Amino acid sequence: MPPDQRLSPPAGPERGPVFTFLFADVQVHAHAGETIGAALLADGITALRSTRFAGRPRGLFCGIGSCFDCLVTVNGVPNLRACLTPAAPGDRVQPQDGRRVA
Amino acid sequence: MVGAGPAGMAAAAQAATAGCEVTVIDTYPAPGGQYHRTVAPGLDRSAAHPPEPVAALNALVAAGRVTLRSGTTIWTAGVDREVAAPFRLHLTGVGGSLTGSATIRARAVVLATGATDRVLPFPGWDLPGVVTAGGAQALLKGQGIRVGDRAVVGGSGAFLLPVAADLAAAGCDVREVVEAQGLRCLMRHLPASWRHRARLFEGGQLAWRLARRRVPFHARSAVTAAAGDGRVEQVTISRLDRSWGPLPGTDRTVAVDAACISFGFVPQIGLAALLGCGVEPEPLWDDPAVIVDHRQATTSPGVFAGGELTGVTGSDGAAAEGAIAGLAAAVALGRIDEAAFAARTRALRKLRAVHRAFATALAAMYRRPDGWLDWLTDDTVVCRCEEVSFATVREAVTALEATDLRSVKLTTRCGMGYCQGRMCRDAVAAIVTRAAGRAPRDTPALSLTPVLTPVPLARIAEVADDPDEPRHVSGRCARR
Repeated sequence: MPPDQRLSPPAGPERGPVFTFLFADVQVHAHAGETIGAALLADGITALRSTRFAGRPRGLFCGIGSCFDCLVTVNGVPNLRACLTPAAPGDRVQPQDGRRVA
Repeated sequence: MVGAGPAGMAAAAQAATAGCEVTVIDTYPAPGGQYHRTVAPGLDRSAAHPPEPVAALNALVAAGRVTLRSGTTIWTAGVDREVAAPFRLHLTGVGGSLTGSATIRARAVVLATGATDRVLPFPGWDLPGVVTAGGAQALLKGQGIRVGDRAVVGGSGAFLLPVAADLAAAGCDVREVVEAQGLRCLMRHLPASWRHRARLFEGGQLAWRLARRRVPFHARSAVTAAAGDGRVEQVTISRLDRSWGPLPGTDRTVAVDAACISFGFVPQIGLAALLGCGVEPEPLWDDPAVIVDHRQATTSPGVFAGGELTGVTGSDGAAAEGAIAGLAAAVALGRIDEAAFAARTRALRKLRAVHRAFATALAAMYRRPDGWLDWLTDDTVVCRCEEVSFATVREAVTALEATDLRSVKLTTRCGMGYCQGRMCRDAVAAIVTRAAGRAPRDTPALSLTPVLTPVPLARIAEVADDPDEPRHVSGRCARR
């Protein structure tokens, strides 16, 4: 049973209906207004990409769009910050393997 | 106005009320900044009330007095003094695609771009699950997401307390809070005066919330390593000496799935520098901050600044500074006269003084010696973006004599990556200082860049192809 790190009301927001998007080949749950990074974290996924020299995993770090560690490819557009990009139903999100030449 | 945090919102409200045509540009999807981090638009279906300054700004927007461009970032800017609206701001949507591009011109600019968490490296800090304290709170408040089930909150600074308290209240098992500063030092400098009683009361409330949930608070301690397979699974906590060096034999490990680490805040000066504003190390932390006078005017005529950008003062001080900056901009645009300015800023100037005094007193509690360099191993990554190790930076100084930040950048690639030195500047400066025996002379260097956020080449081409743009601008962009 995967963890769900979402806060429920009243502590957390009253979320709308759930939808899913794909991260690699995994279905991830999300609600309107959630960012891709937050939805992945809520479903327990923390590694979003691997670095280009050492191939080490990276995920959310600063959470506010300053560090550029949380880069993912969304619907073919690469290097988007997962912490700032809203999730939409049917999104195809790809982790970025830094060592592979595009 | 650039930034819709406490300072930006206050500036916008004052300038709009004074009759200026106001546009607010903000990176995030909803106003509030880091302090009033509001739930992302569309996420909360209940009729939640936003904090008062956010509600006030929304009302001005609804009334057509303020134009709000959320989800928008300025990727470069310039000043053309020969035209009436000299400030040229190039905007892009935050999504990284080609949406949201625009160029706007302004006769006056109020900068309220705030600050980001200061981060310092330690072995394993690049593992998923290790986040900044600010990031943990942004996720909690903006998205209603806990960063993990079992967390340690650490680093240094008063900010750790509200983050730990909020995480604990959200159901996260906060295993402990570690503060690098010693308790005696904290207590000795506690701004315990009647004047600051409200803030002291807040601090006491936070301490009580943590104590009630039995969250241990350990001073003179730090997370000196993180480890795990693919994500953080445990942290090493060490006791520190007065210089923040690890005390041998005091290591212990704590099982966690998140570590939230922050060492205070660093002003975001990139845009200010592009608009010609002078910066200098501010007296509390040595961070480059924008120089302002008593009217919140920068050294670049027509550009004003307020909030954490001019030196960290907290949200109330930021709001007072922003308000003064907005009114000063209104005077510069001829909307109100000096008498009105003096009258409207009288109370604000007193507030500003009180909050600056508190921030100064608070900062005296927290110092930042460089013993944390002893937490590092040779292969600890210092520049996260370019994966540059501690050993590489150190050798650039000792073997290649790169004793200023610019040469370190050119020889090691520190600061050349996406974040343009925002994450590694402090660490690199400290490594250089210790290895070279003196501080680098160009401390703002890793913070200054003509392109503030990555944009596709097509965006630069748009500017270059625009027949109305001065040639020297497009030439400079093309050369970069």
